[in-house]
Amino acid sequence: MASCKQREFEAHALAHVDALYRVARRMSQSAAEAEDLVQEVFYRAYRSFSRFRKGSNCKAWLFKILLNVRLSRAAAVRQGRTKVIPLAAFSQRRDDAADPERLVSARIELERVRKALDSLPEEYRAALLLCDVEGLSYKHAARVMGCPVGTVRSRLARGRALLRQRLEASASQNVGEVDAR
Amino acid sequence: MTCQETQARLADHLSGELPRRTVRRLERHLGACPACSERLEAERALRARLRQAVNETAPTALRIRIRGAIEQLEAGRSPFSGLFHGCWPRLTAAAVTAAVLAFLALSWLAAPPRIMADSVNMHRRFVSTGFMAGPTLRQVPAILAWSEQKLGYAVPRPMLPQPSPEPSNDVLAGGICPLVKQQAAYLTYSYGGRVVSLFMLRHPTHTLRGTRRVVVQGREYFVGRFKKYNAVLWEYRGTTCILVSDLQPETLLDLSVKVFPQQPDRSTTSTSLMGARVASRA
Repeated sequence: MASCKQREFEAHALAHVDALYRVARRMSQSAAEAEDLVQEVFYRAYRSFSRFRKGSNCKAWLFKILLNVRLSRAAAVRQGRTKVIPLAAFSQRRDDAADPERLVSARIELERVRKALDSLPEEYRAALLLCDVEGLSYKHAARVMGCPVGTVRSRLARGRALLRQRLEASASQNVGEVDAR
Repeated sequence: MTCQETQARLADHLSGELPRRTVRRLERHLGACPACSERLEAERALRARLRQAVNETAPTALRIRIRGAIEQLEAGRSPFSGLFHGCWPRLTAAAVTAAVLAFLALSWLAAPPRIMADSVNMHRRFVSTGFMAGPTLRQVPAILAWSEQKLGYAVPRPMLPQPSPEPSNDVLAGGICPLVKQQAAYLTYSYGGRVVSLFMLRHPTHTLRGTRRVVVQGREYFVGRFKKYNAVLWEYRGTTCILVSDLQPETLLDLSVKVFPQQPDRSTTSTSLMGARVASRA
């Protein structure tokens, strides 16, 4: 039978699993790594759920844990304590052969946006994901990233400008490729 | 408000970060300026594309694993921990926990501890849901490193011969779990289509119910039941290894011998051990 803590955790924290996964996916190399990250986040979150202040932003708290876990893992990799094994085989790609052309081009377009986002420096990417995708306020994003609100604002401005630039560059490149054919 | 001022604030406006007064001024300008309205729409469209591009949902398997991990944490929790939750000072909680632990330790000394009935349920859970606690399957190197540090050696990734052309005996799950009130490293892998779990416990304190003692290559094994599964238990460098499966006891015993092909205290070669059969039974 689920305990009171378990029920409360499911209602408050587990409701954000998709958001956590979305951000983790864009902040890591593979879907497998993102899954591991998210699992560890919830594992840690549950253990320290009693310290979570009721009424505060649970989503921001989970994102804070996510970035901390990610930082500690990156440090472990740098110090050679952990090896990262690329697990391309685990990625769940499906090819829908029956897709009409429109869907294919829409998918290519979204892939282009993803690539542009992935190419941004990490702090800009994190700011964009937290504020523009997940809708966190600048104040909460600042807490998650451990920096002042002004820094979040400037990272967002720079990140958005860079994203726009890269999307335009890739669009003109695509046009060039089509012309060359 | 000028066009330049407006355009500099569009993103903050979409994020709802502007004060109400500024919003009113900005909206007044937007109502009168088609160029700035167009910029706002472009900004909105970019954000929508961005959301759409990263819109992924967490896989069901991940949700199951998280729920499993939580259940596991709950199962491993002290029955008294609920009493301390936010009510008692931490010091009192620590003192009571210490007293309980001391009591448990004394009772363990008085009678050899038996494997908790519920612990075997974990095997079923690993098999049915792919449940993992702590490091996960995709962190097999981390599991190996952990067990090497805590147990003094890595949990062996079994190199078992396949009895039939089934999928390879690859690791299905692995991690660290609470077992018999202590930490255990485990790997669950498939063997000819059947599932086998190998647990390695830090302290050699356990016995199996109704075991029969078997000696193979001079080493003692205990064959018994681990709830509804067959199990083989043996000591290895001062720790306890338990192999659990629904395989026949003889097959499981045979596998147990092969899990550690290199016996540190014997000068036998791995080839001879791989072909070893049960030498004697008591």
